[in-house]
Amino acid sequence: MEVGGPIVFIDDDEEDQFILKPILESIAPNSPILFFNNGEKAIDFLRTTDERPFLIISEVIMKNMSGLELRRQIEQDKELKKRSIPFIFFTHPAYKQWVEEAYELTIQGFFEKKSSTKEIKQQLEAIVSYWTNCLHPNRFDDE
Amino acid sequence: MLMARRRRIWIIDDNPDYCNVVKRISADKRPDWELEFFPDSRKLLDLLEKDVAMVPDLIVLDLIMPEPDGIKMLHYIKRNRQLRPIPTIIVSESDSDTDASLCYQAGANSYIVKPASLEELRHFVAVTWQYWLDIAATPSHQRL
Repeated sequence: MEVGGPIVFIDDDEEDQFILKPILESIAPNSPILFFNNGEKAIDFLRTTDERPFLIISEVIMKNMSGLELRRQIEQDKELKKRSIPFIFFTHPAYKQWVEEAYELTIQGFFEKKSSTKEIKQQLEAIVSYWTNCLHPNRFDDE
Repeated sequence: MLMARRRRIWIIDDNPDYCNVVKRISADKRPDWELEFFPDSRKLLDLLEKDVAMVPDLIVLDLIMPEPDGIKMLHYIKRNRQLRPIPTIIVSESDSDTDASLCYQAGANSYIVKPASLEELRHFVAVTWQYWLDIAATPSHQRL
């Protein structure tokens, strides 16, 4: 099935954005890549957009709102929870405590970002490929 | 640090043919991984209530089963302190958006339409095992 909704990427590291955007564009050519520097801007977008994002991919540690807090707020927002947009952590560094906390928030995967561009591409390919095969409400054309 | 413990997967599904094929495919790919099959979710609930079940690394749960059905089991799993963090994959013959939405709202980690052919089932086992048990960090098996 063709997936065309945007990928919402939240990461406050501009260098990461520079590296990851072309990788994601090559892996998911039908999904616009929307980068946000912080969780506040991302949740404002998610609450107001009519678009149906394919995936949300987030760092854990960011200035102001952390990725974990962002996930918590999505879970507490009745409308956003109902939309069930797959939420994935893609982060470096990663700690045991974060993984445990993240899975308490019923996420769709937690990945420790690798150091080389080649490995990062392999990780993102696996994520996009898996979610292209899974069913979630944003995959449907009609409400 | 990678833990040496064998990976354990629970398959909660009342279709014996499907379970046998999953067992064979998984054994070919990962002979060292342990699959536990629960054709009747009541038996699993009994084990859990006696606190004698070994917590797995991944749960693959069929949605359409005799009572308690998959959605009831999912609610039970996601309300249970020990099981809640375990990635729980719903596998269902239903491709209804309503079913998928209800499962995600109940805490499912992913939802996949049950493979209809042997080839699709092989693909499902390969990508699901790879995504959740090889690449992702999970609470039971972290490479941190």
